[in-house]
Order: sequence, then C-alpha cells, then structure tokens
Amino acid sequence: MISTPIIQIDHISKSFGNKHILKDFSLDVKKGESLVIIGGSGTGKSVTLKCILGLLTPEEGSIKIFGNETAGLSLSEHEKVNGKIGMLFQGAALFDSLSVIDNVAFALIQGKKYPKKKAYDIALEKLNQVGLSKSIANAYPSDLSGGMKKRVGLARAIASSPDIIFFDEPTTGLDPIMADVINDLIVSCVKKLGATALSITHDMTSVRKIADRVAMLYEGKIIWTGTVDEMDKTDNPYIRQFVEGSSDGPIPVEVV
Amino acid sequence: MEFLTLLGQVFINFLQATGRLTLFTLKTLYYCVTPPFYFKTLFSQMIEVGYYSLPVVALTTLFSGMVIALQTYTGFSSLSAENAVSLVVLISITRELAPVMAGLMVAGRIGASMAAELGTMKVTEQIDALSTLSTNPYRYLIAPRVLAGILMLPLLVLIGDIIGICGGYIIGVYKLDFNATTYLTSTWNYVKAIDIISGLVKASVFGFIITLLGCYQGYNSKGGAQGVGAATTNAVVSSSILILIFNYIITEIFFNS
Repeated sequence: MISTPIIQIDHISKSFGNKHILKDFSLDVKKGESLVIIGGSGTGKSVTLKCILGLLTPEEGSIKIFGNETAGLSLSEHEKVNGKIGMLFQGAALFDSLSVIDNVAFALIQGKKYPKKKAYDIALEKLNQVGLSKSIANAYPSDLSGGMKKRVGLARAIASSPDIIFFDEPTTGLDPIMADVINDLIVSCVKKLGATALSITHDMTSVRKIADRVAMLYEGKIIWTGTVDEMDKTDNPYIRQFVEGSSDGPIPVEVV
Repeated sequence: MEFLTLLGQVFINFLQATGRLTLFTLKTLYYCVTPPFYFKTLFSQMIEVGYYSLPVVALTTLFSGMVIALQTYTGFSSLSAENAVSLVVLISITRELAPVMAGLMVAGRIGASMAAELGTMKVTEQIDALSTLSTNPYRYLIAPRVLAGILMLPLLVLIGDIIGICGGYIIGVYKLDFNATTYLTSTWNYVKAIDIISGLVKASVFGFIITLLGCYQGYNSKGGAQGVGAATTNAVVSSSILILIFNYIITEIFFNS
C-alpha cells in the first residue's frame, strides 16, 4: 500500500537574502505513510512546509503534489491543492475573532461552501474526535489553554477530511502528558482518515509515536532517512547526536 | 565610495518598497472588483470604519467649525467683512477641514487597528492558516477593509460637513450675535455642489489610502510584537503624510482652473 509518492520534492532551493535555507532539498512522501522531518531549530523545517503549501516559492526545483507541479503557482492557484491538505500550526493559529466552532467549520463553509448547519454538525463531530465537548464550541481561542488550542487546531486540520495533513511541531509548548495526548490524537486521526502525514518536530518522543519514516534535515538538505528502528540503530553521527541530544558531535552548537 | 554604496542601497530599497506596494495595490484592487465577495466581513468593517469613527469625527469637525468661525470673525472684523464668516466656515469645512480631519482621525483609529490586527494575524500564522484553508487572504481580509474605507469615509465626511457647519453656526449665533436666519440663509446660498463633491472625493481617496496602508503594513509585518508595533506606527505615519499630499493634489485638480 505504501508505494506511490503523493508529495515529490525535487532539488528545491530557498534563500532569504544571503542566507541559504534549503539547498538542493529532495524528499518523497508516499501515500498513506507518516513521515517526520527532524532537525535543529533554524534548519528550514518550517520553510519546507511553507514551500509545499505555496506560502513560499522556492527559487529552484520542483514540488509535485498528486503528480501535479505546484512550485511557482500563485496563492489563488494553490487554493485548489490546499483544499486537499490540512495543517496543524505550531501555535495552532486559530482565528482570534471566530469562535471554536467557526474555526473548525471554516474550511467547510468558506472552502467547500457547505451549508452552515451541515458544517457545524461535522465540526462538532471533529471536536468530539479530538476529545473536546460541545460546551466549548462557542468559546473563543483566548479562553482556551495551549493543549485545547492544539486540539481545536487538529479538529480544524481534519475537518475537511484532507488527503494530506501537515503537523508543524505539534507538541511544542505542551507538558509531557498533553504532548502524549496530542501524539495519540494525531495517530488516531491520521489512521481514521487514511491520510498521508508530514510532520516536523525536534521532539523525539513525538517522532517515536507518530513516524513510519524519519528524515533528518541538516544544512538545507535531507542527510538521512529511515524507519524509527533504523534511526535507533544507525551509526550516522548526525542522527546519533540529535537523537541523544548531545552537544558533542558533528552538529555545532550555535550560540548567538 | 562607502557613501555611494549606501546611497545605492537606499535607492534600491526604495524601489523595492515601491514595487511591493504597487503590486499589493493592484492585487487588492483586483480582489475588490472580482467575486466572490465576503459581504458579512464587508458589513462588519463598514460598521467598524463608519459607525465607530463617528464620535471622533463629529467632535473634531464640530470644534473645527467653531474655531474657524471664531478666527474668521477675529480676522475679518478688522476689514469690516464679518458677514463672510458663514462663507469661510462653509468652504473651509466642506473643501478641507472635514475630509482632512476625518482622514487623519480615521488614520489614527482604523489604520492603526487594521495594521495591528493583520500584523498579529501575520506573526501568529493566522494569515498562513487562511491560505491552507483554501481562502485567499486578499479576498477575505484586505478587500472588505479597503472597500469599507472607500465607502464609509465619504459618509463620515458628509456628516462631518453638517456638524462642522453647525459648529460655526453655534459660535456665529450664540457668541458673535449673528442673526440665526441670516446666518443659515447665507450659508445655504453659498453652498456649491463642487465644494461638497470635492470633499467627498477626497474622503474616498483618503479612505482608500488609510485602509490600504493599514492592511499593507500589517500584512507585511515581521518579527513579533516589535514588528506589529512598527507596522502600526508606519501605517499611521505614512497614511497621514499621503493624506496631506493627496489633499493638495485633489485640490489642484478641482480648483486650479
């Protein structure tokens, strides 16, 4: 089942001024798999996701989603592709001015043009799926804790039953118990939808829980890929240093 | 040599900023006139720009009308031309003071709030989230705000015109002892469509400038709270300057001949 690449990133490069973030970056994500990109802060993990989503345009290379070239498409042209993608942002990125239910139903009402009643019914079902009760439907994001915001963000990401879901550092800023809850929810939601998942994180507990395959990003390139078991067994010094969280190794500790 | 490099860099930065603003303006105009429209957002922005700005515009135009009446009387009485008070109040309020005062007040209120709101949305990735939810941020966030500015500023100025003239009337009749009927009649006789229309055109252009720059600064803000603060300041300062520049240009166009 895990065979066809649903996302094909081929030799993309992205710079900001003189700073080269992605250099000759290539990666395939196969249908139905959960791939996690690991790497230190500032290595270009978020930039990768933004390039795939069309929020940033790579200077070189190709990005294909479902076999269609998307690199260089305008934001409007990307809207159709993004209709098949869900995204959980690092800080949840809930719309402050909208209630929880309006946040979750947003893509259904604005994107898919569902009637409000139908969109709300689906939104309530998704909230229930992430362990939130009906009672918070009318609350606003400012009333919620960090963990609850992440859950609402997850409900919003899965509301339109996307084929691909991106998770940008899903457990950052959460306590270990809540992080585990979010990891479990990610696994169950992705499995239930049969979606392809691409996550970026530096939380190794999260990696072990949600990844089918792991890719390590360093200096703008993928330097290693493998399963979680292979990650634990590899002698690759970059992986060993990162997994063990050691300051000794080939990855320099940058102190600004 | 270093000075020339610096000068060149400043010039290039200026050209880049101008290009970015031009592209932003063209995109915004495109999304303002092409469907689908978000009428609910447009309506709530019209309330925000128009209804909630009414008290501040009313107060500033009221006192502007009052002070113009007082100053005109003080200056013109030495020329025995006190009767010109109503005319001066009428012309200065409708042509200049109501649109410029309303523009500057709304720039401070709405331009700053739009820059802060969009800036916060930008740095908390809410604008990116909109794109991932198949919603164009220009269409959903910016076009309704700019349209609200273009539509509501003329209405505010029209009300400001009336209140400003009332301010002149209050001072003229209750402080300077003009006859109420004579004051009103002479005001009415001096009313010309071009005075009102030029003020309303100015208001519409100012509304466009304020909302466009508020959205532009917010949409392009970077770097957290400090970036949002800078965007807010830039929005108010740049729109205030442009209001004064365009006030002159529009006055030239309407009245130079």
